Amino acid sequence: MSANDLLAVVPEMALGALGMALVVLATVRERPQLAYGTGAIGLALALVALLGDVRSPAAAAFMGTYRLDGYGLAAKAVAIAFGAVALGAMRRDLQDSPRATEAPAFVVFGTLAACVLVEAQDLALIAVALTMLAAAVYGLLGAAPGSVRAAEAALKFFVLSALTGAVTLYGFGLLFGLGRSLDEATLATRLAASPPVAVALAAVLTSAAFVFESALVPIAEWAPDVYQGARTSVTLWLSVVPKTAALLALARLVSTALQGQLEMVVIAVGVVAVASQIWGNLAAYAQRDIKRMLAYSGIAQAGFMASALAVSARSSSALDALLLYIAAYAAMNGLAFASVLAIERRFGVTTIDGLNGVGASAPWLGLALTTALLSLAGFPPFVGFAAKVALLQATFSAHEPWLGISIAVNSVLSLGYYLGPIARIWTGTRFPARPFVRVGTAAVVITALANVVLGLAPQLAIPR
Amino acid sequence: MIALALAIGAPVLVALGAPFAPVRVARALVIGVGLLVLAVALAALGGLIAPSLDVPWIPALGARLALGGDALSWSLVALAGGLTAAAVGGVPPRTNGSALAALFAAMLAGLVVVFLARDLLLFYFGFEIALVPMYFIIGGWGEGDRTRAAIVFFVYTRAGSLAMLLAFVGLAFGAGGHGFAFSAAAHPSGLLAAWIAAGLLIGFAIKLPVVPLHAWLPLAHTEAPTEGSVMLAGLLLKLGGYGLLRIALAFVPGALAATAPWLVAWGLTSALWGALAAFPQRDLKRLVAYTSVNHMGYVLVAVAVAAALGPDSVAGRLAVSGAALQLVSHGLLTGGLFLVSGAIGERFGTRDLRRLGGMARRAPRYGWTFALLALGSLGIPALSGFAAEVQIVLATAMYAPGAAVVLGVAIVLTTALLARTALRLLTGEPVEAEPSEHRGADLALPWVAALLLGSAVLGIWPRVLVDGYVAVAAALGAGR
Repeated sequence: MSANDLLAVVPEMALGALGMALVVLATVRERPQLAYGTGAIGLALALVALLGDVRSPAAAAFMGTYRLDGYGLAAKAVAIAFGAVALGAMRRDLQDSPRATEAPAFVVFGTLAACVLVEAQDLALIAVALTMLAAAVYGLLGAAPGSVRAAEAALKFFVLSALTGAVTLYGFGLLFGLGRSLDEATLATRLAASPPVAVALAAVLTSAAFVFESALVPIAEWAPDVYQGARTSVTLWLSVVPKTAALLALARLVSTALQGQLEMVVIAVGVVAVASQIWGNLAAYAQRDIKRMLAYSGIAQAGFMASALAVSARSSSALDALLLYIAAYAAMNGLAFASVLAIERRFGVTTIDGLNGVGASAPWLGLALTTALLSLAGFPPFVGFAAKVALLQATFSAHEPWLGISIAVNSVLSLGYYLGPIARIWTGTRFPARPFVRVGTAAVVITALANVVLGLAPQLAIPR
Repeated sequence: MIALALAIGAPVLVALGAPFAPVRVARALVIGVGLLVLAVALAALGGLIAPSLDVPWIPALGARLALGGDALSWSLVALAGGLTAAAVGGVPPRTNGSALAALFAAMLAGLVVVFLARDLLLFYFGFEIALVPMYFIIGGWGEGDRTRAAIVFFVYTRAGSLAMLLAFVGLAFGAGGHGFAFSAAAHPSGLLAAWIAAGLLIGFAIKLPVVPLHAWLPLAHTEAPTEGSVMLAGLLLKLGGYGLLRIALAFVPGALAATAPWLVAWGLTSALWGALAAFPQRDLKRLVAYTSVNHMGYVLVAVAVAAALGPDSVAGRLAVSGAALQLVSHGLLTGGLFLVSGAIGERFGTRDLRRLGGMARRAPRYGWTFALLALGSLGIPALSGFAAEVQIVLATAMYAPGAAVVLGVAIVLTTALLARTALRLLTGEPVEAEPSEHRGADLALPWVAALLLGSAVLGIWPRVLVDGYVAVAAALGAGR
């Protein structure tokens, strides 16, 4: 370890220091704005430190356990920026909770875990980051308890994360036994000479926690309960950061350590991707609560991203496409939940039927949610379109057109449930006047801008 | 460059600004921007300006902001500008009229991008941007079961556009393509070309529409507000025909040529079906909608003939020019027919043919305008429909005389249909419908007169466009 190693991880160290400071500030319960303000400013500073990295990229640090490349940089930038956006939304949303001051610390530690997860290329470090990420989510779910549903959601998340975490550790153990290394690059060469069945078993077990965090079929059913049960500003964060970090980390693992097992990976991950798309899209139609619907939509969206993951070792553009989709997903889903939060706080509804009249009462909010849903459905000029095209390009140039066709077919399939709420928003009459509440405005504005700007200039999110 | 900024930027700005303006101002802005686009397009058609642009857009996907135009592009841009102005100006203001006007400006921006795009991704971009406002126009301002109509319309056309997008990705990255720009995309052959042609045909046939992919059209037209129908029939259907000419014929001519007999048969079936299905219709707008299915069937026939004989052959030139002229002509005449039908519905409180009649005496301006438009639509000489259809029939006769006979039958059927409808409106006694005092409907008449004038100019002097279209056909032939 040298001084250069430490210089390379300045943003991560900044996040760590910030998190510890926030633990202290969490005790100042009577002045929550202190913790939230420090958290937001600290995240902004970490983003600046990260952009310093752009000028001096290093290949790897800490004896090759920590990767530093353009993909990680872009993913970290998304995670840190999104953490700040989510904190902005939580500040007002959680202010009635007695433990509101704890949320910034959990968000910052979760962001740190996501950053480490996408850059680590050592199985031990990955395990640490995964555990830390799950702990942050669990803490956030607990920091804002409201209903019985929320408690149930937290418990469900905790049990499943512990279970899948253990299975993944077992998978890591098998990989270590087969390859006698925890380093992804070393594993790649040694696993190629190992018995394929054993490698396949190890790979399947390893994927458990990643599949869980990214809410892919078959470990996706926690998402609707948790998304609905959690406070909306918490859902905003946990529907984006853990999912995208786990997907990119798994893509890295697949395209390095398992690159000898190409055919198996393409088929296995491809099937998971297609199944997630179909199940998420079909189940979304049955939902009456918009947060639950967005949870199923998130399962389908994870399926879209997983199709880039499936071909990540075969097509040089697959990781580009995945990164663009991660940024797009943060913008789309962030906008969706931010506007659902604002609507919930202003009109007291989260059901789809309850959206009747939102457009007449609050046209800007109606427009925001409409934008988010159109972007999720893949319409230009919003970023969801460019991201889907990039996925299609990646799957086609990897000669796996079935993955691309599935994306197209599922985009049509998803149209109905994205359009339903839009039709609701713009019909019906005004709500009776309520005291004016403004929650999450900054989050709505920032994510809406991201949808349009990245939609017109998607190369901003493609790291090369 | 300035002309492109005007033609695309101005509608975008109006779309963003109109919702905040009072209804009258918003409508005036959209009418103004429509006429501005028309003026730019006429200047380009006249050879006064030749704007083009080609700069990188998304390097990772090989997509470029490539825009440019020939006679085919600019004549449709002119149609888009003029028809947008007529659609907005020809109907009385509605509730939330500012938002409605903004949707028309957004649609216009998308259409101009489609017609000028020289990049597949940019083409798709405009294609979808033109589509989304129509969902809101039908769903927000339509009649009857408008939500269902809007969703059916949207899902149908989206399925088509995604098939088209897959084909575009195939063109851009299969068989030696290295990007979405027209100049970078592949000209594939063999099995890949067949798959790509299938994707393009599904996408464009839904848009055109061709039987049996037309089910969304009558529903959407019945429920859409009048100005929405004008745009839908006058412009959105044109995207299908334009795509066939600009993309299918340019990139997969071999696959089209190999299946040409089937495509001709498909187009003829659709033309006959559209004419026959129109006979029992009682709703004036629904009837006109079915005649669109008939008229767009001719376009598919012409494209297939051009592919089979080569766009640069004598027949191919006739076919390409006939198809292109049919697009513009149908836009003018059917746009006009929908405006008048809507105005009649407004004035008499019904569009039911069984209850309307006697207009020669009671509302002569409406009755005769409808009759004139119908005559143009059924192909009377001196209006543009004749100039277009005669070229298509001649080209088809050179390819397969039998097919030309069937085409003639379809034209005769349409003639009978439209003549019967016009007569029924003009003569007889209305069952119960009385003209209301509502004079807002009169707004339509000057705009319809302008559309008729355009059709007459093209009918009497088709060379203003046909020369340009022949050059397009020659370019298509050279690019094979």
